[in-house]
Amino acid sequence: MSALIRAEIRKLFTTKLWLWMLIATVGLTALFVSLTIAFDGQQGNESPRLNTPEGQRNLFGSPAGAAVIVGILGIIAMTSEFRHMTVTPTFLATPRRGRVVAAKMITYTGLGIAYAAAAIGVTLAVALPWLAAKNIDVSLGDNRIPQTLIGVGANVAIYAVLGVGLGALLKNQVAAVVGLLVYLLVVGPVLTAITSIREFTKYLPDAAAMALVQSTPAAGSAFLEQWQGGAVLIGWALLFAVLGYVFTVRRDIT
Amino acid sequence: MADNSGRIEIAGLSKTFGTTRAVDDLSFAVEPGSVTAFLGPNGAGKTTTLRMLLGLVAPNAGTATIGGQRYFELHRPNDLVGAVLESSSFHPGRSGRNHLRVYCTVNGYPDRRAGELLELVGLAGAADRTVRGYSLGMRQRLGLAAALLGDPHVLILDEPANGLDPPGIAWLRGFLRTLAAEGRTILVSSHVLSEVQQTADRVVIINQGRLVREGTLEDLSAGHGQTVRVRSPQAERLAAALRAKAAEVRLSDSSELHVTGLEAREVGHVAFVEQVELHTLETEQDDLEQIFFALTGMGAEPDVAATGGGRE
Repeated sequence: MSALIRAEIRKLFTTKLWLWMLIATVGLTALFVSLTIAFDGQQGNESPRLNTPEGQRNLFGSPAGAAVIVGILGIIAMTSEFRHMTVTPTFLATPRRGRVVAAKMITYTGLGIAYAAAAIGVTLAVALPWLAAKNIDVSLGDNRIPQTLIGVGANVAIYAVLGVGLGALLKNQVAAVVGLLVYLLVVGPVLTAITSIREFTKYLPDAAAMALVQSTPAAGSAFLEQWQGGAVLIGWALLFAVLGYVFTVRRDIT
Repeated sequence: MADNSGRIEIAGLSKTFGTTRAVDDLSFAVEPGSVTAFLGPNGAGKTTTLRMLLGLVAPNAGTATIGGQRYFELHRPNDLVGAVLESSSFHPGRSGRNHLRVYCTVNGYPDRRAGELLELVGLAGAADRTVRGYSLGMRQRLGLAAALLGDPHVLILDEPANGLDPPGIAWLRGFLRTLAAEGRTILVSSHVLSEVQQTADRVVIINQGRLVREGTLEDLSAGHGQTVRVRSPQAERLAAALRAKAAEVRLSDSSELHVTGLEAREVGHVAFVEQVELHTLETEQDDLEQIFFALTGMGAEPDVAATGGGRE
């Protein structure tokens, strides 16, 4: 298994995609944090203020946005094998195909943690001096901010695994990436915003992720506990992976 | 390589895609150290058979083994078997060298194997360029390099000459001969006999998923005898005399005969005894390509070859 993981790491770093995605992660996180601070307390902004614990948890939870990018990386890790037919030499070298999927999941968990660390670093670098300049007190050890930061790392890492699983299931790169984006940017937020059905929607991946990073949306709460959010999200990732293995990966490679 | 580790055995193999029976109760064996051409028209089931042998496609019935083991039972299969199934199975953004290094890592081979193989297939100059810029011939070479990383006893190639230009085909032919001379078992599929004629010891011919002929190239031409073509002003009289000798005679016009079952020498003798004047007496050898066409029905009905089977 360790040889398979080292091979996956090698695949990752011998094309340039990881670098572009890291630049995108850093850039988008910086932009998002900047906008959050710049519009803090502005008229019409109903998000919690940054001088409240909720507001600070939301702010330090924003590097969780890297989950989208890492999820796409996970999807591409699996789908590019099918797209470029490298799946043939890959499975010829490792006929036990489940091991290939498992190696990708482990590798991309590590990748997710690394990207989360980069995103958290950017968040702190932008937010701490800016908040100090606005005379907003921040103590990183308080207000459950440490839990939020740990949640960010877990969230991004689990999304990498979820991406691998989704890629294994759908096989088609464009379909999987578009599907993930449409869910995360449209379907998920719309469903979560309907508070009356949140009893059910809180188990969806994006709501579970919000519980995991302890963020508070503008409208209402009633999310899962942090650990529950993490467990539910892992469950989704494993579900996709198992479905992908059963319905796609095991199938004939023609 | 005296052991049986390189013996390929296909036994009762069948595969159906939807309603198409791609491979139908197919059995044959490839002996270690031989070069076997796996022939058949497009859609005959060659690719499906090779993919079942390599564990990529699950058969509906039968087994395919290498050295007595099914592919997925092999420990580190790349040590024993190398295969090239597609003209391009590379990430376009990865260099040729890094592509090989990925598989060195998977199998625990040292990284220098990548450089050695690139040298061997003549890609050393392009090793660090991304595959995106490789020609089809270069991709075919890189595929061969990847297949040979583990110095395998068994090499399986699916239509390796497809899309190659004549110099590329010539290179491939020479390269396969070199590999064969090293005592490797090579199973190479093709729909063009002449591509493999000079390298192969044996042929396995399939059509519509079924075995048509298995044996040496000599076996293939035997049985499909030669024809003696005779021109004579007294063709009808000669024909009668030849028929009396149990020969099969066909008149293509009033002065030309096609005789099978007798050699040219014997036909000449009959003519001498009958005092028939001869203008032409020559032996026409059916070439292997014609025999292959006849066996697979490719020459006579090109439409069948183009649409038959549908799936490769």
